Formats: sequence, C-alpha cells, structure tokens
Amino acid sequence: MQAEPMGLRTKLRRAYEWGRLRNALSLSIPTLLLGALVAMLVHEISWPLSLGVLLYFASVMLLWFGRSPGRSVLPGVVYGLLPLTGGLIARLNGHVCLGMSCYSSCLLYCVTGGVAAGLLIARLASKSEAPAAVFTSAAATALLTGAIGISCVGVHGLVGMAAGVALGAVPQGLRWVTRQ
Amino acid sequence: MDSAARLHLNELMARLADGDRSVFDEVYAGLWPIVAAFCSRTLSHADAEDAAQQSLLKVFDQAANFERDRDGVTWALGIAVWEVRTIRKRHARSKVSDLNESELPVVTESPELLTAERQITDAAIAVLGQLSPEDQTTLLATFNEEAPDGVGRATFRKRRERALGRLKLAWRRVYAS
Repeated sequence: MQAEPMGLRTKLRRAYEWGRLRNALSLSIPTLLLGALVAMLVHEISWPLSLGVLLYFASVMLLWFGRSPGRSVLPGVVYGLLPLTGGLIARLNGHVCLGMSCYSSCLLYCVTGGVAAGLLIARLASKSEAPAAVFTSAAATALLTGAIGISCVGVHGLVGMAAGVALGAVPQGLRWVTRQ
Repeated sequence: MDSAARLHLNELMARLADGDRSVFDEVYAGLWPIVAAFCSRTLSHADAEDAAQQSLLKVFDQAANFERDRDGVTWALGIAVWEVRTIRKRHARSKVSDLNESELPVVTESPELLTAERQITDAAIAVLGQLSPEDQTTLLATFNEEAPDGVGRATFRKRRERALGRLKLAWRRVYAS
C-alpha cells in the first residue's frame, strides 16, 4: 500500500491552503473587534469600521501567506495601537491651551505615535532574517491599525502618522545600509 | 524511521506550518509511507487506503497549527488512529465488515480432496441426525460453547459425555467398515 493514490497530492495541497485560510480568518477576528471598539468610543461608524475591515483582510492575507510577513502581523497590530491611542486622545482632547492661545495637539499625537511605532517596527525588522518583508508587513498592519484611531482626526493625522512611521525607520534603515 | 530522519521531518513540518510551501512535497513523501503502513496494519486493504488518505487530508488541513516542539510523526499517527477508529465504528454500526485479503478462501487442495472432505462432513451430519433430539441439542450447545437454559453445569457435562459416546457408537456402526 505504498503506492501514491491518483490526485492525492492535489487534494492535500488544497486541504493545506484551506486550513491556512481558515486559521487566518479566525485569528484576524480581533482586528474587526478593534474597529468596532473604536467606532463605539468615537461614536462614528463609517471610517473605523471600514478601516477595521481593511485591516482584517490585510491580516488574513498576510497570515495565510505565512513566513516573515505572517509573523509580523501581530507585532504590527500591537505597535499600531500606539498611534491609534494617540489619535483617540487627540480626538477626545484635540487642543492644548497655553495662556490665551490654543494649539491643535492632533498632529503631535499622530506623529509621535507614528514615530514610536516606526522605531519599534524597524527594530523588529533589523533582528529578522528578512528585514524588508518584516518591515513592509508590520508597517502596513501598524498603519492600518493606527488609521482606525486617527481617521476620525482627519487626513492630516494619517499623513502625520505615516511620516512618523517612516521617520522612525530611518535610523535602522541607515544602519542596515551601512552594514551592507 | 531513525531519529535523525524523524527530526528532519519535524523540522520540515514546522516550516510548512510557518507557510514555507517549498517543503510540501518532502513532508508528503515522509508522512505518506508511515501513515499508509499504519493503516494497512490495522484495517483491510480498501479501508486502509481510505483511512490513510483521510488522515493525511486532516494532517495537512491542520498543518498550520502544528507546534514546533511536538513530534510530527506521533501527531500524524494520532490523527490516523482516530481515523481508523472512526472507520471501525462505522463498520460496527452498519454491521458490515469487509473481508480482509487474508480472510479470503484460499483454494490450494485438489477437487478430489475437497469432495472427500465434504462427504465426511455430510456423513457426520447424517450420523448426528440419528441421535435423539436431546443429544443433538447437547452437542450443538457444546459446539456453540453455551449451556442450555435450566440445565446445571454438572448435568450438562454428563449429558455431553453421554451424547459424544452415542455419536462415536453411531459413527462406528455406520462407517466402521
């Protein structure tokens, strides 16, 4: 009974891919819950939920693919919580008043959260065997996670966060280039 | 399978769980003979192939959940054990049991010998028919390894001895020459 049955390999390959996809679909559910939670907190449904769904599908794709991009999803989401929290704080307390003048703190929170996330992602990428793949995957999930909280602040908040992530990655990027 | 090969298979399964599709064929080539051999030892040929295929489908379906510190072969065989058990239960429920290849009648003797054996069996049945109904019941109960209802063990043993004695006598009377 050692002979290989006809078509078994194809069936097994299909079972393997379906198993991975099912696993990815269930493991990504918390990202949807995150979107729903932010929507409840800010009393705005459209953007947080839309971005939550987008993050869910991105997470599913990356987890299904596996390897370094798949392993980077969880850190990306966790690091993305920093700009997300910043965005939520900006939303709830959008300006700082010093004497008679008030300043918008929104961009500050978004950029700071983005820089912190960028630094952590770059650190993670520099320790991995595939830094480019890890950075791309983790940065994408962190940006989407952060965007859930920042979207309610406005487009300038999103741009600020993205710039912050890029800025945070610069030191590790330079170190990596000089090592090469 | 030696321990080095087992460790190598574990490593490949961990890589497959991580999403490295390039090791798929190697994992398949390593697991199929093991699972197939196990199933063929525990089930009939047709069921064994079915069980081995189902087991491997489940193994690869759950491959993403394989943990690096587990033994891959034991894990795969654990799934195969469940599959074998399921098939056996299914057979027990439907009361359909497939014939094992080893259980198929093997005709190695000559037709003459088979005819002679058949004649002796027929003769034994004919001699049994000459006995009283009580002796017949006793001998049939002995053959079926059960005691008739309402008869004590000691009584049944004595009846059996007497019935066997009468059977021998009847056999000698008819076929002694």
